[in-house]
Amino acid sequence: MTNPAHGGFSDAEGFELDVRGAFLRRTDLSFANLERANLSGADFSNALLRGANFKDANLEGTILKGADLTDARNLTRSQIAGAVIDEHTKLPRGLSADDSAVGG
Amino acid sequence: MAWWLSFSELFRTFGLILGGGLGIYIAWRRAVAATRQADATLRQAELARRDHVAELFNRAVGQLTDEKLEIRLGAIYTLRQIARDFPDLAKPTLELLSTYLRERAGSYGEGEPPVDVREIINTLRNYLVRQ
Repeated sequence: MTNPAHGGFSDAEGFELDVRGAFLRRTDLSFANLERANLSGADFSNALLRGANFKDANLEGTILKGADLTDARNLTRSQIAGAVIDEHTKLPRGLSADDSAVGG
Repeated sequence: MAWWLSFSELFRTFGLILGGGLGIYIAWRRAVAATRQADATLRQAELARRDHVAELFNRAVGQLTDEKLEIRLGAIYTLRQIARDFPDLAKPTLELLSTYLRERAGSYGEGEPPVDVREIINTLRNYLVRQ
């Protein structure tokens, strides 16, 4: 039943992360599939989110100050516009701090 | 006399075939009964295991709100193991751990995440990275 090749988890079909409003500074969710995740209002300051998939994720009010989103996938301008970033936030290529209310 | 010998031989052969067939039938019935018994034992063992896991799950839910960090950590490790070993319980277990992050884990300022938050994030990430 256990599948060590997948971090030990066999299946959790349909699981979508919901951490709205959570305090998650300096945590590491690099390369995680955050598709349709609800991250609204969560504080991900200085968190590692490199290569994460943000397809249809809710980033409304998500604090991403100093967070590393290098190579993040499916991250849109409107998602960034809804989030709170600063000059230390590392965005994936093609997105810039101008897409958000920096420092908000 | 020859006729009687032939008849005797035929009768003997028939008896052997009948005896063999009866032996095979009895062996087959025993095998079926043994398989049913084994299946029933297996089902009972699985039910007992699930009861035990349900008890572990419920206890862990209670322990997640404990004041002592080591008790909460124990609960997190138990839930991680349940999610690994029981695929049908993986989703509710991961949702429970996410709820803990939303409702219970408080602010830790500019410092590193406390060990309970870090372990939950590691557990969630293990799953989310492979999705």
